[in-house]
Amino acid sequence: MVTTRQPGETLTPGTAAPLPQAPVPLPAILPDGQSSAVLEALGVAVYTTDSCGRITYYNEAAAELWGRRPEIGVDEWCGSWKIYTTEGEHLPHDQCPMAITLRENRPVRGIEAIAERPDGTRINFMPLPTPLRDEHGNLIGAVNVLVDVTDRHRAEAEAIAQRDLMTTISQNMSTGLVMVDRDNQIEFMNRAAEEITGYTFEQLRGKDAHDTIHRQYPDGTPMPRDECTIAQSNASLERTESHEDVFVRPDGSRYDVICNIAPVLQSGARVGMIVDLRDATEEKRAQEAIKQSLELKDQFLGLVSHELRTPIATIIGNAILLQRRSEALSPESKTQALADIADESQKLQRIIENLLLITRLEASQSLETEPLRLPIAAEEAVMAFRRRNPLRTISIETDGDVPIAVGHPMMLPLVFDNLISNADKYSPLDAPIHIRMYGGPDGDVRACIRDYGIGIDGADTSHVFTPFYRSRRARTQASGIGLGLAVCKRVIEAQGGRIWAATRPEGGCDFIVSLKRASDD
Amino acid sequence: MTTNGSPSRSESEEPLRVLVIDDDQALLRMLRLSLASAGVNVVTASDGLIGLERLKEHGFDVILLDLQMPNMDGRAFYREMRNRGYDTNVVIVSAYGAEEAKRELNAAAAMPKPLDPDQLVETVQRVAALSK
Repeated sequence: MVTTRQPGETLTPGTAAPLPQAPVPLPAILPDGQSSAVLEALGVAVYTTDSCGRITYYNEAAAELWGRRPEIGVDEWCGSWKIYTTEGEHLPHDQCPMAITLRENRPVRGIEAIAERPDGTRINFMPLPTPLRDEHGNLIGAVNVLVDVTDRHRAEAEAIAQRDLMTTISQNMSTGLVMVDRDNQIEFMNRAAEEITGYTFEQLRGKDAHDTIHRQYPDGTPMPRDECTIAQSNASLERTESHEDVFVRPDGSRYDVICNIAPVLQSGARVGMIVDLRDATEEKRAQEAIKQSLELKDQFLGLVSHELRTPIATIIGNAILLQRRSEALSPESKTQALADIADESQKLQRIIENLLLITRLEASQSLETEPLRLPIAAEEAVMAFRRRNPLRTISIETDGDVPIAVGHPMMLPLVFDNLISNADKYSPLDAPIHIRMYGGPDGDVRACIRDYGIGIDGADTSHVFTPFYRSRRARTQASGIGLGLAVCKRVIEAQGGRIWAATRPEGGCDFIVSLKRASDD
Repeated sequence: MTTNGSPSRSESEEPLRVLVIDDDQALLRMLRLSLASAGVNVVTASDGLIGLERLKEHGFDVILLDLQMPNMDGRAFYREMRNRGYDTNVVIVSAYGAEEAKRELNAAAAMPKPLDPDQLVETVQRVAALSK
């Protein structure tokens, strides 16, 4: 009798004999006693059916694989509790490979399936059903060998999981990975390497790493292959660590990289090299910035030390001379020494005031302003300067009635003092300084401090207001801390005004201060 | 050692001749006064270029040399004078990095600013004695 199992039908344990029961062969297609012993000894699951698909024999290995003992002459096609395809879909018994063999009278190969045991465990197996025919070639049944491939499947699944894990890691890491074979041809690149190099993996697959991403010296000249570090490492089998190099993008631009190069081994044999690389452009830039900042700090320390200690040296030296060697000094020398002490003290005072002001007056901070007359602030500064430097000619000029400006009455003379001192410092001893005040074209009030000194290079006109900046020309002309103009800018801007420098073709330069005009009401 | 305005050498000897190079006029006057009041002959220069001119005109026992100066700074002056064959002993007098410059240039001595006029005279005498 042929029973056909419907999809989803559940075999009940009652249709199968308990496991301890020995297999019972059916007469027509039974292996003989010797063959049966051989089939048992093989340890491979084997069973037979008659031409209708009824199981006529199975060995212990088959029972073990199925996890049950099918009923001889009753169970059909396969002794499994349930069968699934490798995709996990339920496979009715009458559609299993053995059923196909019997129906189509041909062996079935290359199909894998999953057997589920009554206890729920599953076994991946490959059935090898083969028709059995009598001496006339008539189909009398079939024999099936079930090869347990669970371990292989597990190993394959593990390998896939491992590969997926490695892919996930390598594609998501920020370090670029480039793998080359023994001939230096690119075999793999991760996403980070694509971003760093500017090439996609597909663009570089199978291409020579040296010829594509690494072909030039930092100065752009071609690098011969025998100088290439990747090629050298590939040839020498040596690991290279923290190697700094320059790679080339598709557009020909160069970038700094830091890379490690290591041999790739498979089963102990070297198959190529793996290069992990990171774009070091930012790192190099940061290092350069730190270096520059340290140099600037040294320059600043040198400048401040020089500018503060020099007047102090004059003051202390003269004071000691007056104290210890008074009798040996002429009256003129004593007078000069005292004058120098006074002058240098004032110089020191101005430097300290400027330093304090630039520190205290934050950028964008505003000062309280009030209506004031610009010429009065200028006069005050000029008088103070003349007391210190009676030999310098300074003229003040106004264009008619200078409009009333808004500014800070204490800070404006300081600005004029800094601008006049600056003009004095960079002008020949006999060159005059002119101050002109007038109503500006933008409804503002302006003062122009004009000198006939060394002037400013065009490129420096915006830099001269940067704290501690000193142009090359200024450095060769006079000592200084580079603070006076920076203070002027900060103080003027804090009053809502502007200041700029303009170099004149005929020599010297103008510093223009612009303040808002006081409203009429 | 002589301070308090007494000559730096015995009466029979010529007074020491010192070239002082510094761009700060007030400091230059103080250095001149410190040395002159101790019996030293002083010639001054306000930068390295003028200093080289002074070397052509006079012979000196010691040179006091500032580092930061316009036109030709102290380091450039030192190298140039040696290039030109002047072997006068040099004391670096600077507000910043005097010792480092002394080592770098292989100068005879270094004095940081501010300085004590008495120590200055002592140093000048000691350095002058080196070349004897």
